[in-house]
Amino acid sequence: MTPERRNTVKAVFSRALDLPESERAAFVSRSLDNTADRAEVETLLQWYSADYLASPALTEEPLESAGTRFGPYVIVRELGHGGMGTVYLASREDELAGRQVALKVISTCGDEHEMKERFTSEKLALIKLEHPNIVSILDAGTAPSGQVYLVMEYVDGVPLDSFYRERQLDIPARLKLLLKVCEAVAYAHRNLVIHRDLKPSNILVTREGNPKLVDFGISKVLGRDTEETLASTNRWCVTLPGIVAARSCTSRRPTRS
Amino acid sequence: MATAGLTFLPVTLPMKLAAISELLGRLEDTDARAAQVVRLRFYMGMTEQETAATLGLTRTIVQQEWRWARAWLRAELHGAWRRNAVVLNDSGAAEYR
Repeated sequence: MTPERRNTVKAVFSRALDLPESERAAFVSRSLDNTADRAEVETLLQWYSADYLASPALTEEPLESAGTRFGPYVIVRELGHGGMGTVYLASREDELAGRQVALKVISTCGDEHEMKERFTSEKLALIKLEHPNIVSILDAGTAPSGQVYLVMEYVDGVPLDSFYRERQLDIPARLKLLLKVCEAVAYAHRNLVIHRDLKPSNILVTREGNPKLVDFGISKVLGRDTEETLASTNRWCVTLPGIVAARSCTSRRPTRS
Repeated sequence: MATAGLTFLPVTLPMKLAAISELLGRLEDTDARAAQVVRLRFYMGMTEQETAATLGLTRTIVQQEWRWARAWLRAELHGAWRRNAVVLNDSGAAEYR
């Protein structure tokens, strides 16, 4: 079969698919003279299914759907996606039912072992921090599927910059809010924990105007295994230019506040 | 599980993908352009427009090849399994016919 004829057959097939089913047979016999071509098109029209193989073989990491269980927690909806994984709003289904939490499912598309280790240090970092302006960790666990998850206090708030805009805060009001953030950061630094990814989207402000620092995903517990920590500090220098202090990527010690 | 003297093996997604990959090799021999479109759209996850730009084809041609190839693959996949009195349904599960 010549390529031209092949193309004609395919074009007839494709155009037939755009017609209502009742008109397809007549269209095919009108458009093709060759009996074998007609038979082939008719057979393939029967087998064609619009959604067959319609989505790619490998898709993005599937999101957990509402109702999926992680230990005593049940997924309600997605809250956001970060480098470490996806954060969901979840609620408990036991005697503490109704309590809403933020549940972060670790992304396993990278090196699973390393990701799990990072998750552990995030957990440690948060456990060490108890401050009204730092999101507290409530729980951590491993789902039967092997996914590691972290349960954090759920903050119903907006990012710092959005809060500024929405409330149309003047400079003194903005600075007052920022001072609370600084106090939280200073508290973390006193405990030898640096955030390493401080940016407006990681500072949520509640309706009452209380800032909460979230996502200590790449912070490290300094003071334990220091050499390793400093080496990894350079490796994981993955933050936004213009927001993070340059010295947090280069200096040997975090700033003392 | 055994039905009518036949043993059924669970058909997994990897098995389905392996079968498609094998059929794609055959399609390549007779219809290289259709096979190419499947590779870009199904394996690479490209859109119709991206596939057209990559292969230097019009969107109409890409749509034609894509529709044709998927119908061909589905017909072949079911046909191949029917010879063993088992067909795969679209979710990859074996059905006795």
